[in-house]
Amino acid sequence: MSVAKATNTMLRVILLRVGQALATAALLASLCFAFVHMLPGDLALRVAAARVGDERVTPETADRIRREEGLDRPLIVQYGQWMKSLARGDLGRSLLSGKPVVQELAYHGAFTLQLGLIGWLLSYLIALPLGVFAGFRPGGIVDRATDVLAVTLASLPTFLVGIGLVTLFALTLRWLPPAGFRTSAHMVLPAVTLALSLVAFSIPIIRNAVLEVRAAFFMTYARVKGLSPPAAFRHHGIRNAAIPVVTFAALQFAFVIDGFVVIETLFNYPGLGELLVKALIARDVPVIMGAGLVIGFSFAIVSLTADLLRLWLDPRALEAVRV
Amino acid sequence: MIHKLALTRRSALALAVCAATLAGFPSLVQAQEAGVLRVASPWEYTSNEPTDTGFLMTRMQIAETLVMVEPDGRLVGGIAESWSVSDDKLTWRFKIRPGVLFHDGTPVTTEAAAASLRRSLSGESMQQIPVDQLTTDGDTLVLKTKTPFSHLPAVLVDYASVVLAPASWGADGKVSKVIGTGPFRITAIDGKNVIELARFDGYWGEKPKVARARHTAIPNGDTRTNVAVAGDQDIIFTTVPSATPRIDAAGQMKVVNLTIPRLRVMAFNSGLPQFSDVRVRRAISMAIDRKGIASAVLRHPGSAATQLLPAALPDWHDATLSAYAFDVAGANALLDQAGWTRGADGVRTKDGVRLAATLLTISNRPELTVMGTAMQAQLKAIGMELNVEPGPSAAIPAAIQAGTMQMTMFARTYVNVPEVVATIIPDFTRERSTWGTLNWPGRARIKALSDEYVQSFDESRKASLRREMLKIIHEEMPVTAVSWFEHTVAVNKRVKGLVIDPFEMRYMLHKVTLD
Amino acid sequence: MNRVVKRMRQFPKSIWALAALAGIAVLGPVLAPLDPTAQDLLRVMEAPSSQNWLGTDHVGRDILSRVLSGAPHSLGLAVLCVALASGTGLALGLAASNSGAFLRAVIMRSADLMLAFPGLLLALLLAGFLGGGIWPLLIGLNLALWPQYARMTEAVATGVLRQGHVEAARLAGFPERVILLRHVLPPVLRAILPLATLGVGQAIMSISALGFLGLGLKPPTPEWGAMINELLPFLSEGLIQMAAPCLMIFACVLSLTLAGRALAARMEAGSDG
Repeated sequence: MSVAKATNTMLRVILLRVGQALATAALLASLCFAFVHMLPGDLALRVAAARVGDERVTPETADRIRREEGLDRPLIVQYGQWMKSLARGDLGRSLLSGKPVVQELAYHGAFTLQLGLIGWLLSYLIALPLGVFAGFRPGGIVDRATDVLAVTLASLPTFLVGIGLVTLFALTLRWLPPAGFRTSAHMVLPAVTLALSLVAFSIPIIRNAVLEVRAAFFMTYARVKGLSPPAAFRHHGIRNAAIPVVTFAALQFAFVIDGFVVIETLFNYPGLGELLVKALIARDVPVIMGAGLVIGFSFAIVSLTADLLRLWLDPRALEAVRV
Repeated sequence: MIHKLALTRRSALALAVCAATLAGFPSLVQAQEAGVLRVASPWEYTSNEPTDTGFLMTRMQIAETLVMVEPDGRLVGGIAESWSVSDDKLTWRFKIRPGVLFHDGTPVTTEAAAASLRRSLSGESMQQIPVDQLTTDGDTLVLKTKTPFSHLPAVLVDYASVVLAPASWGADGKVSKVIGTGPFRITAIDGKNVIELARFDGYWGEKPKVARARHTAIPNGDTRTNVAVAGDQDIIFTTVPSATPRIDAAGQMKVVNLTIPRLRVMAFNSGLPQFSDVRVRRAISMAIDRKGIASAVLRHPGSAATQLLPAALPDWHDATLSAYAFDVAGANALLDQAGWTRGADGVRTKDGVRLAATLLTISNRPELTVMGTAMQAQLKAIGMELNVEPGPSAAIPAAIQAGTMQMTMFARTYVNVPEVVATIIPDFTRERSTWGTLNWPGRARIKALSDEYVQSFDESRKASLRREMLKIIHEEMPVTAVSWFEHTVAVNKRVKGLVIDPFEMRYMLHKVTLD
Repeated sequence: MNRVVKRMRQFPKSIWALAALAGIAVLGPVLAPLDPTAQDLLRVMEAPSSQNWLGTDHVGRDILSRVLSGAPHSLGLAVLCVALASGTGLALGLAASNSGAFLRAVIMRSADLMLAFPGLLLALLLAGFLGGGIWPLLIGLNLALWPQYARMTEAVATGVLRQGHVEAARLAGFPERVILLRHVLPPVLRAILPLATLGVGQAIMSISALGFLGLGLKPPTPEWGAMINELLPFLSEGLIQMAAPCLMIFACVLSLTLAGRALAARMEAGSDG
């Protein structure tokens, strides 16, 4: 296959996948719409309670909000309106704050992205050396120790890890602030909490990938060629070992989103998870749909990135790409 | 090829690390600033609308109302310097205080105040005023009512009626920017969580001692506790009552308690067969160990209610009423007398109706659920089955709307405006009130009494009307207080001069100094 | 008899731990020495004593009894969730691998779609709207968990159906049902079992996370996550009380994780040999 042709195929794949991602995201948002409206109870009343506060909410307030926000229109009209605005790139306004949904998502999304990136990088900063080392000396003391560590962390719910870290570092040792988002010091505990819950699953994946590659035929061949074991791994192993690791890293995405809900609540961190939970309680339909759109799209983009990385690591796979 | 790949791979990695570092450490310079008063509360600044978040604007002293209330309950002039009512009790004249400035430097004119008030009169909480017309007369705002309305000044304390500058409203009729008159002005808003404030040097009254303040919303109670234990704020309002010993023990902050006219009340659907008999409602009240709940759950024995309202509201607290009794044997006798007999499962029944109910509570006030579970165990002793169901805040109005409400427990302030009758009317005179009685036949009597009360300007007559209303509510128990509210405020060692306003209108931050 | 003992010796230790936990889940409420919902407001947050081996909670309930009675709610519900999700996934996965391109695409694309939706949020959504309780948890976690089983089933079943002996069986005139039962189901189940074992652990964590967020089962249900949530304000006075539900969650998820790994290793060894 020529380079030009390969690039061409690649571009087509990417475009198609992005299109698919957008369609998936719109479908997910539509599901959110259907879901919220299927649930029992008066939507306007929920919105009203979230807006004016529990104590002030009256049926009159709910009626005013129903009128003002057009919640009394037929559902199909409301949905059509949303789809029409979406085509223009407009996600509407939050029923709770009156701010554009795009603005809300951007504000909270930036916090989540920041926390997610740092937590995720931190997790690989911990998991990569440990996993690779364990993979090189299977059954060795490091392997056994990291195994215990990974299994222990995998058996602890995120909120327990968070409570433990806060109790130790914020409340007992007083090294770090217990909650907030204003300074980098505030980021440490939530990021470490997230990283630890990710490490639990990435260590064994990395270890097994390394182990498998080391046992592979081409490594033996490289050794026969006269390369030292580390050199052989550097030249041939990393790339192959990275393939399953990359696939897995993308799969961690959904898990990360779940983790955010707990972490953001515990640390009073204004991320997307917190926004979504609040929106769910307030039945803030435009925000819920917008968040569904963003989550669905990011999931698709993350898996696309993972696929592209895999292609880059193993160009032979391009032949197998089926669109 | 390989070489090139390696290069790009390395640079991609470097880029990713750089991006993450930049994203992660945007604010290394923002270390703990000295001289900033850090205030935290559970309340998020969700929007700019006074009907939604006006309480934060008045509490953080950003915006002010025409009339204000002092912590001792006196009504004092806010933006209105003084007021008077005509002899026919229908025309109120509010003289606008001279020299009051909005935060944008423009003076508060009578027209601006009238325009702002006109917008707020359409809000639900202000609709109780029987407004005839609102006009201006020089430096005076003239409000005519259709019928005499004796507590008009008190209603004008309502946060929904804060006076904002004309420039506050955008073209769509919504508040785009809060330009108030209070001692603090907003300098920045960060999402829903943080409001940055600075002292307003043009303020007409007592100027704040601190130059800057910051309000942080911490909705989660456990997180508020953690922050208080770590001492990471200067004042934290509404800490979780059960965490008080823990916060005090940590030594960073001290929790101050003040009984306020906010209650944790239990309301019955008096239309249900199990609750239509006043003897059943009374027996339930007698089976509840209010003192035990107050000391174990709320950790403050003094917060056990003895009647509807606490002595902090001398006008609405009748010391001659007998305190709520805790008497399980008496409660059982009352139920026997009312014809409820115990079944095989220990639950009483009468005419095929089980003495059972679902108690709805609000999950964002966690102590209510704990109190509910405590009551569940206590009511078992009199043969009543209680199913506690915490739900989102709108669950109670939703249940009332749907007609499924049986019993509820919630927190309710009786001083949304500093005249309790403004809460009695919506809560005790309607067939279906959201935060009060439901299908209670006694509402007609309260309605007659409160109608007279509203129209009366005779203080001694009003006092006797108050006593009558309190007596009916105390004896019939369509709603009964379980505990009064202790306003719990965690205060940092470096804070001096904090005054707690039992009306929760203002946080009185202008009096605070920092060490 | 001897053979049975020998076979039982071959089981990994984690399976035994699991069996013990299952025993607690079934017998827990019977083993509980006191009524898990009986309160004593005069004896709140008391240290362990001969009467309350693990102390009392914030309304004077016996922690030991609550932890034991909580097992069916935390562990049992998790098993139910995963059983339901793996059943759904199995059925849909088999249907996908046995049907035309269209149905297959519909099932597998919806599986992909649901994978994008975080499970905890889904349960949150339902719990927030329907009020706490078993149903939102079951439905939400089921919706979130079935795709992974469907994908696994589809992958394994499609692989098996292409194999020579299945082709042979088909040519020999065996009905689809027999082929499915005899040739497809065993390897599929072998693949799903470790996944489901791990899944129960994840479900326990999700259920307790919801309990921790105050959106799980209704009080006074002694669910472990809800217990942690209730006891958190009293952390400094009640470390032991707090540790009890934490350790139960940890022990359950740990033994499930180990058992899942052991099962996976066994299946792998089995398929190689």
